Amino acid sequence: MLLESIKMALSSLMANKMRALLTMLGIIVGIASVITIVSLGEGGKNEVLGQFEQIGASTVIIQVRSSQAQAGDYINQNDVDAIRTRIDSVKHVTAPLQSIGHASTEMGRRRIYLSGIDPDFNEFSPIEIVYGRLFTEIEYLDAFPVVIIDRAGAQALFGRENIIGERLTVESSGRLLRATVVGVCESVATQFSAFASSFGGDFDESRGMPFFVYSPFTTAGTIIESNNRFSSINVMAVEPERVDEAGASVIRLLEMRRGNSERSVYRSQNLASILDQINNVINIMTWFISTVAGISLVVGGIGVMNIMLVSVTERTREIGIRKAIGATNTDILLQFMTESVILTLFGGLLGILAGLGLAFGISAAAESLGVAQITPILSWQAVVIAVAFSTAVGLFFGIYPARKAAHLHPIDALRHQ
Amino acid sequence: MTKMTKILFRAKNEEKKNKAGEENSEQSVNPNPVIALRDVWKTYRTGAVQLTALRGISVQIFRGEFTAIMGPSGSGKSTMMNILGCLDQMDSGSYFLNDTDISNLSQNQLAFIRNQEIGFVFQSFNLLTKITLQENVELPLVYAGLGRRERAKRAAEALEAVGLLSWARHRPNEVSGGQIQRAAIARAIVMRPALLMADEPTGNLDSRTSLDIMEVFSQLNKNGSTIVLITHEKDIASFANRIVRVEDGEIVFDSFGRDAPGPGKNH
Ligand SMILES: Nc1ncnc2c1ncn2[C@@H]1O[C@H](COP(=O)(O)OP(=O)(O)OP(=O)(O)O)[C@@H](O)[C@H]1O
Ligand SMILES: [Mg+2]
Repeated sequence: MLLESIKMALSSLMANKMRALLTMLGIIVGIASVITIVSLGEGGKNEVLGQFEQIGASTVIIQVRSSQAQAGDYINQNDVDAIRTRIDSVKHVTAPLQSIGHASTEMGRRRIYLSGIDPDFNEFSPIEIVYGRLFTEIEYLDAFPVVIIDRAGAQALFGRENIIGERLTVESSGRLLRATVVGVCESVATQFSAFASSFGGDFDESRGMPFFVYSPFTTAGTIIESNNRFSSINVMAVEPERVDEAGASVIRLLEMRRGNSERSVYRSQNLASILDQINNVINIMTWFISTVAGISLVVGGIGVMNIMLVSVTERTREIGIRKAIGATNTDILLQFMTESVILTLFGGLLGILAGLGLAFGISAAAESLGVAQITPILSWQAVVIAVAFSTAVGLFFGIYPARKAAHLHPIDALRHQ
Repeated sequence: MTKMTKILFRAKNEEKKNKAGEENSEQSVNPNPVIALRDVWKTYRTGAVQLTALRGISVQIFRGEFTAIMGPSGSGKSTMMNILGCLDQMDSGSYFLNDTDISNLSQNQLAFIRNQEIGFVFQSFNLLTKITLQENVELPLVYAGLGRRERAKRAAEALEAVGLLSWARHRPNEVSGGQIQRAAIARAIVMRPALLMADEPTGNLDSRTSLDIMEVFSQLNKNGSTIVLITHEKDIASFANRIVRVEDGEIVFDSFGRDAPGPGKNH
């Protein structure tokens, strides 16, 4: 009987395609908007997760709140050493110097992102060496003029990748450094934005992605201005379970050394707390859009109810005939309920497609504008919820017209023409 | 209805049949009337206006009869027909259909009776317009819960019986009024009901087509169908072998037990 009802409902909807489509519009808009925001949100979360992957679950970022900070509050190399030696829960600490600068060879002058790194740096964001090697202990200690450059940079500055032993000039804040290339590493385009944001970098990405150049912090310190004054350091806990403890200990130690605990200058962020923040933003947006979508679904549902009521009136004679030849009230109820559920369910499916299309459109637009790089992700949960909601709307708003049809008196229905 | 409820229902019928049989045996010559109406009253109330359409109708109709109900407009023929067809309830009186007491059945049970025991042909707008003749004929079988193959087979038989088999795949708007009525008859007999009812089935047809349709009824009657047909045309009534005349809600004439109203020129 249900199969028959579905067949009947389909044929009656097919007879009024345009009307059915217009009726579905509210449902389509409602479902589409939720699917758009949810799949973009999922995709964005995924993207950010990917970027933070190299930071890892054990890492905590300690930041100086610039709004609260006085000159003496910034973290220096002594603090880093103290953290490394005095806190049990800390395994590695790194305080990379970050700066924008330029590198030049005979082939030209290019923008670079210069990082002065310490031996621990590689524990946080491993540098994938393609040619050559990482820095040696002696290079760190004695501030050797050596650099590691990424592939794309090598290509741009030398026209080839294997450039071990070549020399280039690095400049930052107007100071120059003549350095030898000891290593070429994989380009880290995706790492970049995570890096830049978590270290308070301020790149204008629209001018093109700069190349990465690493040098020992001792070497970089000779040309980077903000030497020995970090607004952010990375700390790695001995194990992921102790990441909160490590963050708290580092802050306590810093506050002790500065005596500024009452101003809460420092804050710690780890993967979990960053994800929490991202989730928060996404959840707020999702709730907002869901509310709009909910209203749209209700409006759509009322539209469905309206059209079903019209349909019942138009088909009163049909209902009479069906009853005369043996349809029970339940049969009629089922027939009209099926029709309204098919209407909303189909609207929901169209909404899912429209929402996905919109999400991909937005992501393509965002990418071409260079705002963000997000691939929308449609989770099966979102599909299930969308389908369930559209079905529920069909059931809820279909019940009244269907009951009206089912309870028509056969004689009254037959007399109607 | 599920098979189970059908079986239960049948069992109940048997029980009633026995009881009713005992009651009826004293008063009727034929122990087995298909229809037994006794002192049926029906009043329509629309607002303050009351209109008594049936004033104590009693009639018995037997297996194999072809009864024509005649009478002037507004005399209560359709009202009587709707009650006989289990489409409407009476105010008082009793109605046994095939020895089943109809008066206190639930709506679902009435739907089941309409599906199993009664076939209707109305004056007009008989068919659903968006589906084919065959699908229209299959509808009662759908509600009876029959499978696709059985439905197709029985529908083809019924369409064959009214001479419409080659038109099975057409929609009502592609065929003539006479063919629509034939299809309606096919739908009415497809469940092999105890009773075939028609309320002015030729009312919208020209006289030539009317006679064709009456031939179909006549043939079905010869093959054993019990038919009750409303008409106010003598030509149409002449196909019947019994005439009941209704006026102002009362039966004023019944040819039952007398000679048939005429030889019936086509017999
Ligand atoms: N639903 C209704 N509400 C009120 N009055 C009704 C209703 N149906 C029928 N009547 C009245 O009951 C009386 C009998 O009607 P009915 O339809 O049974 O007559 P009929 O013999 O079939 O007439 P016709 O030959 O015109 O079809 C008429 O006076 C009619 O107006
Ligand atoms: Mg009438």
